[in-house]
Amino acid sequence: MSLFKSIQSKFIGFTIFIIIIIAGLFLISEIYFHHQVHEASDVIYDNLLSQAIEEQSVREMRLLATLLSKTLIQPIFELDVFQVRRLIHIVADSQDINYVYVYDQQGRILADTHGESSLMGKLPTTSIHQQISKTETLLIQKEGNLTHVAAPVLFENKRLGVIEIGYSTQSITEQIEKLLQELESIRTQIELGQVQVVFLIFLTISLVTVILGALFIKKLFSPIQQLVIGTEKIAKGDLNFRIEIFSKDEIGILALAFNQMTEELQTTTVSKRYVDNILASMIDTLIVLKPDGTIITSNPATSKLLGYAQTDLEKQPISIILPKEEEKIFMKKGFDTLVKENFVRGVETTYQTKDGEKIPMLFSGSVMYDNMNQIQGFVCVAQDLSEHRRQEDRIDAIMTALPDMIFIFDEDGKYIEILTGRHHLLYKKFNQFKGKVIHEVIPQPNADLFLATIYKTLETEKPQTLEYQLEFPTGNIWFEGRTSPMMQTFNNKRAIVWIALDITERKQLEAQLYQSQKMKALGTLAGGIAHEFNNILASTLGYTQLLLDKVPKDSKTWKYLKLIEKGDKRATELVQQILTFSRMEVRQFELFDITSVVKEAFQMMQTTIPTSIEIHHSFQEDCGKIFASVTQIHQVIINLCNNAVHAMEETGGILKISLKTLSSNEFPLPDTTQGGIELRVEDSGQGISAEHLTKIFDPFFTTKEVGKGTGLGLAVVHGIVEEHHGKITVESTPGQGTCFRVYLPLATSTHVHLATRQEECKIKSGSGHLLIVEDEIEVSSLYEIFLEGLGYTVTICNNGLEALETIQRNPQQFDLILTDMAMPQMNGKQLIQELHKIQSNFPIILTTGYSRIISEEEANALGVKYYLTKPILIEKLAQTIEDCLA
Amino acid sequence: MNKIALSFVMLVLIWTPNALGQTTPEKTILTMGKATDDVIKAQKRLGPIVDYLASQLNDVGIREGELVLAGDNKVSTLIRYINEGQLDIAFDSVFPTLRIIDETNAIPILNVWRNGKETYRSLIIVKKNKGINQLEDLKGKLIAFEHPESTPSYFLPKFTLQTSGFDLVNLPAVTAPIDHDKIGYVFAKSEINMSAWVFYEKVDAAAFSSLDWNNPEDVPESYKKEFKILYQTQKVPTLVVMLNQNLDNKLKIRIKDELLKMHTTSEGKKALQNSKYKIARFTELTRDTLLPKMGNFLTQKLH
Repeated sequence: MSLFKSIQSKFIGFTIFIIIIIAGLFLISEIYFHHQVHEASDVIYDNLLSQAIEEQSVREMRLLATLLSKTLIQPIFELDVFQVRRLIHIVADSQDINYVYVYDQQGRILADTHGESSLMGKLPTTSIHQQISKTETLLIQKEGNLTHVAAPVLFENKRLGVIEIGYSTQSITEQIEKLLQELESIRTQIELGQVQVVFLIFLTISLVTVILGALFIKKLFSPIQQLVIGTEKIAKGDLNFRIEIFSKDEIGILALAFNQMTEELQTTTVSKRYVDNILASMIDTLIVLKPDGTIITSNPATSKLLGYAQTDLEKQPISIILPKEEEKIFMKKGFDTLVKENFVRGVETTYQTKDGEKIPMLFSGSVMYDNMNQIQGFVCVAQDLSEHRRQEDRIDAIMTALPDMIFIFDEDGKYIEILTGRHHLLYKKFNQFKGKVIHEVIPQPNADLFLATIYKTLETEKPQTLEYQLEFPTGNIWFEGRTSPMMQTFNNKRAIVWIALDITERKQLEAQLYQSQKMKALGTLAGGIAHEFNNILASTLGYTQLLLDKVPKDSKTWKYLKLIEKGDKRATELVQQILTFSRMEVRQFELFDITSVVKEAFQMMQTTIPTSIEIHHSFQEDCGKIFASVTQIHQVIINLCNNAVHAMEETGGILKISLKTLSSNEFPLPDTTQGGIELRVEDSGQGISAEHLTKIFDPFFTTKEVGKGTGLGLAVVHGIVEEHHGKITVESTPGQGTCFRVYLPLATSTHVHLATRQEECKIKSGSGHLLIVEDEIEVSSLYEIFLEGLGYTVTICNNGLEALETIQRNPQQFDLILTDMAMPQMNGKQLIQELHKIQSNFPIILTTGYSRIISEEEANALGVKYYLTKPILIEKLAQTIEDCLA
Repeated sequence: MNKIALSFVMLVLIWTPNALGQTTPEKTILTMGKATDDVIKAQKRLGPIVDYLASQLNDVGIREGELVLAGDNKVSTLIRYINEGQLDIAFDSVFPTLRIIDETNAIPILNVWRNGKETYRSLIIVKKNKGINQLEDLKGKLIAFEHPESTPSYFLPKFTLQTSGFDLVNLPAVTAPIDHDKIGYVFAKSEINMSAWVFYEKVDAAAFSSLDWNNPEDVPESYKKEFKILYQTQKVPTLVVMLNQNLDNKLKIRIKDELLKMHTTSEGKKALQNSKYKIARFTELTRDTLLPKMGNFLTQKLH
């Protein structure tokens, strides 16, 4: 019965019980008296109502019989039975009327409402009807539920007959019962209403009583409740609580005594809350232990850090928060020292959380003694070092990731701090410098340079930069130093931060870049010259070929011309080599069988190889087709073989050359699904040193005597292989020989399509008016002769400006414009831009001898679809013109 | 003729026959009726029959049936309805039928089997104790007829007595004097009155339909024991069905056919039972079913 534990609840329960008892008695008495009244009224209602209704119905029947007897005088007198029947049937239709008889003067039935007329003309059989049929006056006779009402039909005091109405009181009885039921129903509703009102009044009174009772009880028990609250608060250490005193009765006196007791306690006791507040405000953990190591109490920081509820730790051994491996160390370092020295400071230890996580802590403790100077317990305070450790790790990680080294120097040049990742190659080296001055560890003149930089940084209070080289056993290392002054002082000496970055690789790259740019400039220069030669050769070779067609083959002139043509071709080859190196040559790519081309080149080369060199060759048949320049592939084989022969020229040896296919898995170049070929050229010559091996593909690098080599051979090979999206490797062992491997991808379906397209190109005659814009008269004349020969009408302009004026005069006269790019006054690009102002869709072919001036992409951007590079083959020119005019 | 004109002509040709074919509006409501003094009773009797008939004649355009009753129980009113075209099918007994035919040219088509009888006759009854044993004894006596429009209880017995050589005179009251060589007659308005008047000797004789004679509502058993049949006439059809002569021939044929087979179909049987007219079926009206003299007259009108 914890519900009625308090006095207040007992009092409330008792009050409610009394109310329920009173209400119950009230309801029972109400029901009893009501029942008595109900029974008495039932008897009264039944008798009165039945009597009243019966009297009323008898009155109505008498009236009806009288009326009917009057109504039937005429029909009975005239013996209109049909009419008599009709009238009595109307009367008989009434609900309570069972029948109507009409008797004649002799008492025979003249008409009736039974139907079938079976009684007509007959005397009534029952005595009561016989009596009625002869009545002279109004007659009423009851027979059970049936009442007979008879009236004579009189005409001039003569009785013509009698009418008899038989009606049943059954329906009247039913009607009375129905009325009584309705009455009962109404009465029940009224009684229910009465009960509801009584219940409502009872409920209201009960509610008011409960509310008033509750208020009274609250007032009565308020001081007692305050006493209870006060006691609980004092138990928790709150001595500021006071009870309000409203009365001077026994409870009031008790409250006054309680308040006095609290005041006395407040003056003599430090409040628990005060202590709790101090403990709660601590960031560090605090644990109070018994001498046996049992936890007495701990502060909120402890429970929060270790994941326990504060009460969980109470009465637990200290080992609950120590990792097993730390327990003995803690006991030894902490407790033993504590007992010996009464306190310990700054001992690093480890706590363990409820989840098993280990937390580094900085532990301090002191011993508590009682009045008898006996150890009462220990106070243990510990600081969480997790964040501190994390910071350390973070800095270490950053320093490890950074290539820089950071030094802090004081104004005397002393190494104060060295921050270098532990994994840094120079970590050990520099870590030894800590505490030393610069001149002790850095040789001159760098030591002076360092010190000067420190002074400058401190004087100017601005960052300084410098580059310097230090000598290490592994070699010299270049550093970039950046300094910045610090606000902080060390032993009252100013200091700076020095950040050193290893820039050795950058220095090397800069040197390589310088060399590369030099080579590039050289290539550009050579390419420019070669281009000029190319133009010259284009005209001389072209005219020579034209003249060869016109001069008889057996004439001296033809022979001379052939010699010129041969010289031109040789010059062209030389130019091609230079252009190949400088990537300015015009290459003619085609689809061909690599095996046959390699064999062909090898056979050509074979005749030039001295007999002192043994030749081994292995060519896999049907290696497949590649899309490449035949000339350039020839060039690769010849150059590699030449190099090999040169390496064995004096000593003789074996030249091995082989060709085979590689599947896509074996092929060393990525993104080559179709696989490729490997061309291998190997000699057994003197080999190449490691130093030279890295430079052999550099242009103009040669180990040959002056005049014997151009230094372009392997550079050209490298350039060709690169342009064919291939790869070249070299392996060499000094004294044993060298092996070059060239990898080229096999042709793709795209290459096959391109080659097919090229095959379809044939020289065809054409028609139309062409404007040739070319500053080189020889070239323009060559075009004129060639194209007129094909059937075209040709007009020549020697520069862009002249061409523009010619077109402006009559833009419609030309079907196509063929213009060179590089021209004086107005170049090809400017001309095209002007032409587009006149007409946006001029068919234009742009030619150039030097692709670097304008690329095909740039030409397309100008709106020029057709782009040719010199020297232009006449087949290509004819096909392009035909395509452009199509 | 251009194309537009040709199209117009074509359109006219297409539409003209339909336009020309539109004559008088089709008859959709079929009417049926008789002369009666009890309209409600007549409605109950003829209503199911006309509804059934209309439902069977949808194929000839009839959508519903209606009753047109001469509520004053006068044949003249019925004749007026027929002549005005308000009434298509009329029911009546033989003598009113003769008049209707004469004045409207209505066509008698069917005889009605009623109360299980195709024909009936008139009976002249007297009270046993009155000493009247032959028609001759009725001279100077008073006979009660039911109603001036009644065939079995007025026309037929009067026609029979007259053709037998008796002279009948209508008296204003039962108490009026009667010549000794004549037969006086009054109208009792109903069969039960005729029975009562003979029983209570208000009159000497009364003329009943042979059908009513056997109905205890009209002749109670206790009365009947006191009565005897003095004379009975020849048989005549109980009820004749006539058609308005202006009805469409096809419709006339369909009405006749449907009424003839009405008693053979389940719906027709149900309608006859619902009518409370106690009609068993309809049959062809033939010479054999008629009195010779009337028969001659009627057969002239028959198709």
